[in-house]
Order: sequence, then structure tokens, then C-alpha cells
Amino acid sequence: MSSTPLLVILVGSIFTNNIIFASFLGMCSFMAVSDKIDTAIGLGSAVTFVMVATTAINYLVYHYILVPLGLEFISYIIFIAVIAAFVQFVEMFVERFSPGLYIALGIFLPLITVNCAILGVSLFMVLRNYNFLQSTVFGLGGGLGWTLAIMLMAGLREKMGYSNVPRPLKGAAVIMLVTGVLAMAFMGFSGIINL
Amino acid sequence: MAIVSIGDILDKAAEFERILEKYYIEIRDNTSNNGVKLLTYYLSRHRRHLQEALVSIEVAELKKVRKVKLKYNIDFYLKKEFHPMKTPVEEVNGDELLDAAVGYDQKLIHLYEKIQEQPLPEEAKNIIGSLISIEHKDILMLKKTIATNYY
Amino acid sequence: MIEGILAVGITTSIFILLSAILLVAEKYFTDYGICSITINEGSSVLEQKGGITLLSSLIDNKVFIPSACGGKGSCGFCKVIVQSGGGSILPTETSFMTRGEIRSGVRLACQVKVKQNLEISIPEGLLSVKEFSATVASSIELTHDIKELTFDLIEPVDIEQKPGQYIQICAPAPDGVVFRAYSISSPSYEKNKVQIVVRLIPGGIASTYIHGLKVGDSVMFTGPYGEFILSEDESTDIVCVGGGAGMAPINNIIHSLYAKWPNRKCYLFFGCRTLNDVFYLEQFKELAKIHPNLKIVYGLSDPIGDDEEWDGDSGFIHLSVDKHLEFGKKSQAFLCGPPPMIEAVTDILSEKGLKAEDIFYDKF
Repeated sequence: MSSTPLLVILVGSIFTNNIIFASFLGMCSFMAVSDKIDTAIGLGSAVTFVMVATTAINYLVYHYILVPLGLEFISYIIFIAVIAAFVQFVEMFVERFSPGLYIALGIFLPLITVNCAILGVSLFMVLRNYNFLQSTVFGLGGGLGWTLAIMLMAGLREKMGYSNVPRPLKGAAVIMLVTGVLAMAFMGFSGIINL
Repeated sequence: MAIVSIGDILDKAAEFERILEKYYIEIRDNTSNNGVKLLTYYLSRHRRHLQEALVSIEVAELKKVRKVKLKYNIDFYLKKEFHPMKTPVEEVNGDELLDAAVGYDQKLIHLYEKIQEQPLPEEAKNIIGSLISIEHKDILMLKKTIATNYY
Repeated sequence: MIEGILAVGITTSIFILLSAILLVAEKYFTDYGICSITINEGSSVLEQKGGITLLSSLIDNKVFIPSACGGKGSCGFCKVIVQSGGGSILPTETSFMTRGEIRSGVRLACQVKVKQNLEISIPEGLLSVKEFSATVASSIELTHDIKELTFDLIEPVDIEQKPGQYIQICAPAPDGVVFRAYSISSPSYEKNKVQIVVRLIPGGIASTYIHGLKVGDSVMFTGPYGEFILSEDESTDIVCVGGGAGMAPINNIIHSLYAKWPNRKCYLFFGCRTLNDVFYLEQFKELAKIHPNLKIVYGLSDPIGDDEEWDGDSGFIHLSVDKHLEFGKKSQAFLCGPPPMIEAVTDILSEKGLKAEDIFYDKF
């Protein structure tokens, strides 16, 4: 088991090993939904919630079902199934018991199923040998890091909408460029800690 | 960057509509086609249609919304946005005129949507949203008028 | 080998387990039991299984709310007032509402989910709306792009309609079906058929579909909708002004009118572009021989060709209205045509002394 302290995992997964800027995972929804800060926050909080919960569930499934049976190699498919089922479950749950939250998050929940950052976090958890608590914190950090990244991008894009972007770069191209610049900026954190 | 309010932008839109009104009047004075003349009467009432559609909004509310500051300025240069038709005013026919009017409506929709994209309080969003839907309805009416082939 | 079977077995059982959890959850979460929908303060009460939208529960119970988009929340037609049990208004609805409507609880029926007992109110007229299946009895070309279609009603066999009302025809569209409104042209005393007049609009989904219908084809529509009420007072003149294809409601009004009051005064103004666009003129002239108080004025807006004969008016139709109508007579007016025509005619009519509440119009 890894012995990294929880706080280091949290800070590390938000800044130094940011799931978008260091691993470039979860790019499709990152590019598609980063045009307004409001929606970015909505999607970000939904991702964070699902990430924490699925990492915890996947940890249990992995260590108590797959490892004893020696079936680590099917973890990919099991993880995806767990994530999809969980998102469906949460969607139904929220719709029934909190219509307000459903309106705020509802449209984002189906998007999350196909967000590879969620699967990525579950796989990293296995690679890095975290224990249950560490995995959960890592899930939280990964989600917060993703939220931070999409909010930064949304802020920049709101501003960018009113500046003169050269025509060939309009749309996805300039977002890619900005993501690259942001990733370089986040490299500045890498001296602090490393996961 | 200067700080602008929704009121400033709406004034620009109103200025744009006044330019259009003048342009329609110029067409009316120069054309010999009666159908075109009739259409210009209808088109130059664009502002009045807008006001009729907005009566449901209280004046106080509108004043409040006009004061809302926008986070970012919006580029809308009247000279750049207003293109007269390529056909000289004396020879414009009904279909060309209606097509051009649809184009001008779209410019306004585009402008309102730029406001809508910015972070705004709820009531401002509602009012701008209704402006957009009014313009969309106007376009629908113009397109149906084109389809009747009466002018 | 064993490992392979084990892997397949475990994967399958985990999948089955997850699906089972979801199915149980769905059963539990989406079961709202039986909800009651109270319409217009108890004039009718529907019992409906919860979980679906208000629009589909109303349609399931044969209450036909107009809807053009099929419940996608993009047309804004299916407005009803929800007094209780509808939850708060959704962002998808606000763009179709005025502030007053939001305040008085108007909602789009397709966006309200039935989750508990609901109290709603619907305009009385809509409660008599039915769904009709019919076959095409005839399809006649009136001009190069206008067709007159007659439908024989099959189920139900008769329709109670008033002049000025319209039906919504169901036309197949690339993504499902669309409903488009067409005024009823057949007079209201003809109970077992419905006639409409349709202009072919290039690229129009419904008009293309309707123009393609052949005799014997089956169609589906709902109706009647609309609020226009013909003045019962015999001393009130009726003024009908139409342009383009806006003939259907006028045809209905005139025939229904003379079936009831053979001597009533009625003006018919109809504007077209050229002689080729004129239709129904002979038929109205025949009618005017029986009912001399029917005045028919057709106006052509394009100049008349050298080899054409024309005894009607020339110029736009509002000029004819101005020329033929007397000032200050008590009248009720019904206009149907493109918006610029309606505005021009409305101006003339108010100059002639008509009150705004006596001028009805249908911008198509």
C-alpha cells in the first residue's frame, strides 16, 4: 500500500497531477461545456460527486471481488459498468427527491458516464496502490482539480468571446492552444509535490 | 475597456432600427412598385411592433434592466452591420426587400444573443430572451409573407 | 480456461446485479402511484399513472392540447394553467411566456411531469377538441400552387365546428411527426367532412405532405381550435378580407352565414397577384345570385395583361376595401392573409369606424 499522506494526495491531485492538465483526461466534456462559468460549475460539481462515489465503490469492487478471484484484468469493463450504473441511479434518485438539484445537474449527469476522467481516477487508484481512504480523497481531489480546470477555461472563454480571435483559430483550435498554455502554467506546481 | 450597460446596447439596437426606418423610407420614396411601397410601411413599423410586444413588461422593470452593467463590451458598429441592398433603391422588388429585412432581424438577434451569453441577473435574461423570441417571430412572419407571393 | 470462464461469469453476474439494482430503483423511484388531474375546478377529473408528462397524460385521456413540436418544448403551444402540483417553472419554459403568464401559473404541458395530484385549467373550447381519422375524398388544384382538399371523416363521423376555427393536421417529418394548423373551409353545417385550402410552400413539411395526398389516403388531425365567434346580430355587416391563400376561413364564414341568415349583408374582399391566382370567384358569383346582399370584390395587384379580361379591381386589396366600404356601418371584420396586408386593412377599417374588438385576424 502507498503511504502518501492524505493532504498530499488531495493537493497533488488538484494541482500537480491535475487530471486535465497533467493527464489530459476528460477532454471532450471539458471542451464542450466550458463556455460559461455557471454551467462549468454545475458540471464540475456533478463530476466531483460522481468521482468520489465511484472511486469508493470501485475500490470495494476491485479489492473484495476482483483481486481475491485473480481477475484484475477485467477491471476496465467492470469499472465502466459501475460508473454507468451509478450515474443512472443518481439521476433517478435526484429526479425523485430533489427537483431543484435535478434541474441544476440533471442535464450533466448523462454526460458524465462518458467522461474518461472518472474511469481514469479509478484506474490510477489501482496503479498507485491506494487504500480506501486514500482512494476516496484522490477521487475528491481529482474532481476538484477537474472543476478548477473547467472553471478556469470557462472564465477565459467568456472573456475570449469578446476579443478578436484570428478566424482560423476560432472555436476548438484556440481552446486547444489555451489548454496547452494552462497546462504549462500548471507545470509550475510540479516542484511542490509529486504523486 | 469602457463599462457598458444593457441600456447602451439597446440604444445601439434602437439606432440600428432608426437607420433601417430611414432606409425603408428612402426606398418608399424612390420605388414605383406599389407592393414594395406597402411593405416598407409594414417594415418601418418594426420598432412599434417591438413596443407592442413588450407592453407586458413593466416600465420600472425595464429601467432596472437597462442599468445592468455588462461584464464585456459588445462590438456592434452600425456602419459595419448595416448593408444596403445591392440593387439600387428604385429597382428593389418585394422578395429582395423581405429577404433583406430577415437579414436585419438576424443581426439584431445576434446582438441580443451576445448579451444573453454574458452572466446576467434573471430578469435581464428574461427580457433579452423575449426580445430574441420577438425577432424570431418577426422573421417567421416575413418568411410566410415571402411564401404567399403576394407582393 | 477456468480463469476465462470465471471472468465471463463474474462480469455477467456483476452486470446482472447492477441492472437488477437499477430496475428495482426505477420501479421504486418512478412509481408515483395513481395521480388525479383535476381540470377546470372539477369539471372533469382524470386518473393517471404518474411519471409521464402532463401533455401525454392529457392526450392519453383524449384531451387534445395544441402542440406542434411533439412535446420537445420547442413550439410553446401547449400552454395550460397549473394551479397546484406542478412544481416550479423550468428554464426551458420561460422563453415562451410573458411575465404575466408566469405569474398566473401558465406552464407548458409537455414540460410538467405528473408526480402528484394536479389541478389545472384549460380553455373550455379545448375540451371539445377531438382526434379525427379521415380519408381524402378529393384533391383539386385551384391554382398552380393552391390545392383544395376534402376529407371524409371516419372516426368520429361528425365534427362540431364554427366558422373561423382550425384543425391541426398530423404530417410525417424527418424526426417523428409535426402538427400544422389549417383553417376549416367547409361550412359548419357540413358535419361529416372537412375541407381545407393549402398553398404549397417550397420546403414546407406539412404543405408538401398535403399536396402529395391522393384520393383514398388516410390522414389524422385534431380539432377544432380557435375562438372567433360570428356576430349573431343580423344588423351587423360581415366584412371578410383575404389575401394569398387566406380563403379557407372566409369560405366557411360566408357559407355558414347564408345558411342561417339568407339576407345578411356581407362583403368579401380577396387579393391576388395575377389572374392565374384567382379561385372560387365563379362559385361566389353563383352564391351572390341567390343572396344579393353578398358583395364580392376580387383585386389583382399586378397589372393586367393586354390579352386578359378582368372586371374586378386592380391594386392592393386594402385600396378596394377603402373604395367599397361605407363609413360608420356596424360591422364585424375577419382578416386572413400576410401580416403587411392585415396591418394595412386594419388601418383602413378603423378609419371606417370599426372598433378594434370587432376586427379579428388570423395571420395565416
